[in-house]
Amino acid sequence: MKWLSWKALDGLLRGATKGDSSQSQLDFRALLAWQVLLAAVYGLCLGFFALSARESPDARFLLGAAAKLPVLILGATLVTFPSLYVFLALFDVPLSFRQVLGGMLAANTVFATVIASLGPIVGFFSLSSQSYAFILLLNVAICGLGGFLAMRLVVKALADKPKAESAPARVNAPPLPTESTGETAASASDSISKTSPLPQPSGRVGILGVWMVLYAFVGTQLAWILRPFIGHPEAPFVWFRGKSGSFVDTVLRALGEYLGISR
Amino acid sequence: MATFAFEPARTPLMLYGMVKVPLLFGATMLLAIPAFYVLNALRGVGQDFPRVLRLLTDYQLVVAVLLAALAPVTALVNLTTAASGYQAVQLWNSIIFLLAAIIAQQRFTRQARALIAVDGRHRLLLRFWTVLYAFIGIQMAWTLRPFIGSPDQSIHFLRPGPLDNAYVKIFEIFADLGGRVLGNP
Repeated sequence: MKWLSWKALDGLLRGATKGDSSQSQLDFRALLAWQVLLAAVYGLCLGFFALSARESPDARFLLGAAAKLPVLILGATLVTFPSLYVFLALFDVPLSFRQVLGGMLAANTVFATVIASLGPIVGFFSLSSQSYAFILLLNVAICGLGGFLAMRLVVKALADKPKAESAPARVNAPPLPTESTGETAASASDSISKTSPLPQPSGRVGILGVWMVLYAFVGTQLAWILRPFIGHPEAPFVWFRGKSGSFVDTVLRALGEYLGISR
Repeated sequence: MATFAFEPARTPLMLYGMVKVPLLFGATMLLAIPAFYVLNALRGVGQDFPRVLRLLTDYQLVVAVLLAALAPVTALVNLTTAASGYQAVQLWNSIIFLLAAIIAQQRFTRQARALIAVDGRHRLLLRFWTVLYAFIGIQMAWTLRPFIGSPDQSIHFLRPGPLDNAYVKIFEIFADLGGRVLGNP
């Protein structure tokens, strides 16, 4: 199998693996390669701001951000994977180690794909804007959208997953990367989101919610120590800024600046 | 559009305009397409994308045809307005653009309805497309200025000086207005 298999990525997006992330068809290598590449692409687009907004363009921001984004995604996975596995095991979710890992890789890949697909837009706005606050908020919104879509995929996959003994054939059937399977998986999850969730998987979704808060915390904290990504136009280039401040504080400050409340 | 205040020295503006108006629509679409495909695929309607793409390119084509059809009117207004009427010409050209966009949007909605009838999930996606397209298009148009060319300014492909963000500008104008209203009651 190729490292960068388009079929693997497109199949994932189209929901061929939505019902069950356990399948051997989930090509771990391809997902890993795609998420590293796509995260780097988004990082590159982030770096464009350093080409337009500073007095002298600094291409090192491009390199820095393109290298840091994959580190961020892989790092957050490494730190939070053990807790996810243990949480799910304690809540009787019949998923093997490999399945949990596959689900996590799939979610990360969706996240990387969504942000990278919005990358050209970020690149364009970065090149044509002078406002650091605007670019910062745009990027926070895009990462939020990517995170939301990735989480939705995981929640759907988990809500679809029945207990081992009462598994309906439909969900456990090996999903093939064909259009029809994608449709059934999608419509199945649609019907689930419309009707109230079954009592059984709701506990799992609950524990997943707790874990997601944990993940979000780890992700933002990791992102915080990896700063700068965009680079404030007046700050000189550094690879890392060291420990100071926090993510929430800065977002609130940028919002305040944009709305003219504070400076 | 660039026929306003015509004199031989302003000929480059016409050539620039011929590049910039197609660039405005083409580049906006190119920037938005990757994200839109990913969203379609995630929503489970990735297999309809060729049809969706046809719908979107159709919209661009209709706008282009409408603008071209209205071009003689625009040219007449631009050529018969004195250089002092820059603001009136700006307004007129905006109205023409808006008119073309509204007529094309109507056709787009009709065609979109057929797509939504096949699969209801397209509704939200196409709405999102309109928002995304407008969001990028506004900044693109702002970046590609001047389209008409103020008679007081020298001739450039793009406005000289650093590029600027349209939304920040809009916000500044409103903040300024608000400040003036609140500051001097």
